[in-house]
Amino acid sequence: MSFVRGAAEGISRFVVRHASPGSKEWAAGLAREADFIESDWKALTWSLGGVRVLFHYREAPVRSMAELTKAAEKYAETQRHRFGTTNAIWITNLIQTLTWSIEFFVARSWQARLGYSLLVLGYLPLTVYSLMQSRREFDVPDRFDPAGMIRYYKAGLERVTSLFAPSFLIYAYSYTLIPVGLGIVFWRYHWSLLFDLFWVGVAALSFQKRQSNLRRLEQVDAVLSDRR
Amino acid sequence: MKMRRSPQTTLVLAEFLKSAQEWRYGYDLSRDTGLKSGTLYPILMRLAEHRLLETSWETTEEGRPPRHLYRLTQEGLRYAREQVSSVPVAASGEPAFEGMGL
Repeated sequence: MSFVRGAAEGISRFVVRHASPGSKEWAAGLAREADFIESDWKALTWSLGGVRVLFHYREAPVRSMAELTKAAEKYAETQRHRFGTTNAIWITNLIQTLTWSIEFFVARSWQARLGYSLLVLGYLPLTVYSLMQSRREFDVPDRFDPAGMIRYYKAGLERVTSLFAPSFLIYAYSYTLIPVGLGIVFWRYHWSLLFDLFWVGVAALSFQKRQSNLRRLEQVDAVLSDRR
Repeated sequence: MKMRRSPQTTLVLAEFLKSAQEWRYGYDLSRDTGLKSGTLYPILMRLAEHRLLETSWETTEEGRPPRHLYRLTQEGLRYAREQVSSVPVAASGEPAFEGMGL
């Protein structure tokens, strides 16, 4: 085997190993095709093209009732055990709200006051919403109720993908005010650009997650409509 | 979620329509459409996500790993015909997919 062919195989193996659960089958299919390409260099470019599969995270697809039940159980289980995480989130948000409120009262310039007020206005609804979310785990259906868990899972997906859901509106509102507030408060410092980068990253990740949830919701709907 | 329309996607759909009922290999599709694997596979994955494409594994020889095969579903065939027929006529006055047996 030539060095180039070996490199092509190595790249394909790497892609298959590191592909997300929903892309693994595709990565394996793509890697297998390289065996049927006669030219070593063409096989190498084929394998290099396959690296693109790694750029998009895809959850394992839901194509049957059994897979849907399993995904719904997994979702319900994470909701049951997220008590500690959601508590940590609302307490962190509360600390932020209180900290920026104190800063608002001790600030001397109108500019600083404006920045701190935007931060308080941004964090306050997040605190209330995350506190309400932390109490939601009691709605999780019983482990022996698969139909209830599927309904719960579907409702959860619909909630996080809807552009009119309270969660989306609150996050959109807060995640607009907070970066603006931070920008006003720390405008003198060059490192304040890091805040902007951080929020751009958060926005990109949220968009990616929403796309993934939309795909999952489509799969759930398709499985349920096949069953009817 | 809507399927993103792009010239490359239409090209892939047109290629599938040439032999609507046949299973196709990824490399053959790439060769026939001129698309690189990095362009072709994301398109195939999106088509499959929208249930427009079905996949299968074909065992070639005993002991050798199987090959991945692709074919449009009935819904995919309908969608492909719609998309390919709505391709705007090129500046030359000929449809962009002229001569593809469509």
